[in-house]
Amino acid sequence: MSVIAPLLDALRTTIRNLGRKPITAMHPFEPRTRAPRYRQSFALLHEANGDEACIGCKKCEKICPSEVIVVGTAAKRESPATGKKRGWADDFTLDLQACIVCELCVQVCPVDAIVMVRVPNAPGFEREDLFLTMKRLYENEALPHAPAIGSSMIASHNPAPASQAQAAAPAQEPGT
Amino acid sequence: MIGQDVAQIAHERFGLESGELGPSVPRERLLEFASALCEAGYLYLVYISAMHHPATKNGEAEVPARYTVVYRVRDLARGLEFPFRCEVPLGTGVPSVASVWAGADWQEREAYDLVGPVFEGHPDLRRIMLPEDWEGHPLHRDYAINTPHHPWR
Amino acid sequence: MAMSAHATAHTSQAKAAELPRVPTPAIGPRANPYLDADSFEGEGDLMVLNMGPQHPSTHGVLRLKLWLDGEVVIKAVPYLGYLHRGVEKLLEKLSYVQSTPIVDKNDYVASMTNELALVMAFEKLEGCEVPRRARYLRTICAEMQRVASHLLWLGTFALDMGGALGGGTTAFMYCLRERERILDLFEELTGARFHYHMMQIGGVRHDLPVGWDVHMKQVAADIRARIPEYESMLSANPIFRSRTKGIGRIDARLAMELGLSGPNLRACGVDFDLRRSQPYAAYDEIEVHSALAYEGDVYARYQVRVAEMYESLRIATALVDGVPAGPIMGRKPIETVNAVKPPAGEAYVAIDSPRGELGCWVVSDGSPRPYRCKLRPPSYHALAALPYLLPGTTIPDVVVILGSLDPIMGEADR
Ligand code: SF4
Ligand code: SF4
Repeated sequence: MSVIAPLLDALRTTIRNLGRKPITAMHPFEPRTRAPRYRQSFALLHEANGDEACIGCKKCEKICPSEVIVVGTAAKRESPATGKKRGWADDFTLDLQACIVCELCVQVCPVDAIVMVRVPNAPGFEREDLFLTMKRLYENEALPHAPAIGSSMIASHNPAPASQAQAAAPAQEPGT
Repeated sequence: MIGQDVAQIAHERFGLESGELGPSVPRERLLEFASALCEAGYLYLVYISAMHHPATKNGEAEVPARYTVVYRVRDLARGLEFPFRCEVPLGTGVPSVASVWAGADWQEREAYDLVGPVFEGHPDLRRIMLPEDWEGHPLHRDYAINTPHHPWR
Repeated sequence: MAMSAHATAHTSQAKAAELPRVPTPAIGPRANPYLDADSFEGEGDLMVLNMGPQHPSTHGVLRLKLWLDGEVVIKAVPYLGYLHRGVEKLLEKLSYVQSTPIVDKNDYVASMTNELALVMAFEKLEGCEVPRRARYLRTICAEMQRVASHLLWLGTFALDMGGALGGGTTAFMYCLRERERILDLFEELTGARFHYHMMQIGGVRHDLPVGWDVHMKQVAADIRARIPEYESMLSANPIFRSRTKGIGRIDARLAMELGLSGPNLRACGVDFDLRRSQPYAAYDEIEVHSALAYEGDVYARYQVRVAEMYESLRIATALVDGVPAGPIMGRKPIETVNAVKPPAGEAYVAIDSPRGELGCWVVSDGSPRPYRCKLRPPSYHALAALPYLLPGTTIPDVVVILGSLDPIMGEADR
């Protein structure tokens, strides 16, 4: 009896679980909702006026822990849209194979040029399929990207007590 | 929290001053010191590790390359910790404390494997992380991260 | 046989409530891990069995060399290093800023706590204050991570116990299902499911998204309601109990000498918890009850881990309501690779990760890269107990004992 009762108990648990909604999805066939911050692949952005945003400052190349970003900095020249002199990158490659998706490159970019997109890179048969060239990075721009960009992250990390106190004060008032 | 009771023992019986990093115990008295700690209730071995300092020039005097072996033990009942260390020049062994704390066995093997000090009297001093035929000790400061190794590794 | 096991189980449970919680006393003479197997005298010869490194029940790539007399283990020698990636050497080469995402990969089941230990050591070295909001977020993340890690342990442990428990994979699937929801929570918070890079020197990288607290409390309540179901499948089962009780006993003295920590140590009746003895993050603002058991066997470790899940859910739920407003970073935002340059010195910081005391000893020489950075992985210390635990047991028990120590090879080998 003492052996049977716990087994029946376990069986009851199993039966109770039969009716529960599965939390898995048949992945490629069923879309799976992802959180807005979900980060997978990369994209380079254009500015509103049509210029490439990246100024080739190499900050992302230097901070990348796995050294997968290579930026080729071009000479400074005028922007066709604004006519002002600024830096450019004439080559930008990112090797997704070794990327550890740490988001440090996004965090340090001073001009919000690189972002992480929410759509995973399709699995490929060749190593080149995981190699994001500058062309592919700009093509990725059309994909939905995570809200975190360099300037927003740095702003949220700013401990500046004055501005934080102002921002926090109204939020606290209704509660008190 | 640093255990003041053993700091006192270190001072009275061994004539050692313990700062924040703990006393630097001479290798001849290390085993004796470890047993004294164990008797004082420091039964918990937190870690044993080591670091390598390459030879440096300090003005005229040349400081030879050396190992610092660091220990940290704890008295769980009182929540007290006590770190101590032992400095030896390269090529000199450090007495093993595996007879005092059983866990020192693997800790010393790891320190030997990765950093390089040889523990004398260790019951079973073999490499633990790297293959037995590995050359060199990777956590030496002068072991470059891109040291070439044989293609079959 | 099963009857008597069940009866003793009940009485010993009743006893556990009455008995003073004392550290496990010494259990006979210690096994000799340095036994010379050649000089063993018995009938017949000893058989040498290599278990692993590719063995499903070695929890990663651990190789056990077992000397067997019939089915009884005479001597056990673990071989590590199949997952050695040279993390400590890598940390010497990377700057402080770059190191945090790297250690995520050590204990891949509880990434948050890896980052936390490393980041706290760097903060101690640098002397930087962490704002209260960031400390709260760190604590919530660490506790939810503990639940996720213990759930995975519970599932794989049920798998280790094998088909005896109505399939074995059933509990595994249920546990992973609940863990999945915690991963979803972390995905909402950080954007990643395993390697979060949530902690950064000075605070946390991501602030709470809108509605996260409601979502988290829902998940916590659901998991809390379902843990009893897993208990009804596992510990209520007499087969489970007879296979775990009295197996793999370790006494408090040996556990201390070996540096066992966390649930493995607390299962030996040693009331030591870093969250209480050296409160870090927000643990000084909340009461932590650490689960204790005194038998020091596999069942005790199981009990401690299950009890810890309830406690972690309680802590996380209690904290998420009171997350204070304020900044999430206590230092200038990190915008360059060499932003963190602590003064020369040394620091050791330890936290209570799901597996035990996860420490980081870091030496700085004033440059933006650590001079030496040692991680103290709890799994490594737990595996060091195997040569003492395994002699005298049989092969099926080897699997159970190994599973009960909850080693993660990525962390032990580094
Ligand atoms: S996410 Fe991290 S690893 Fe990947 S490219 Fe950016 S900095 Fe490098
Ligand atoms: S992506 Fe940003 S950080 Fe990288 S080179 Fe371009 S501007 Fe600089």
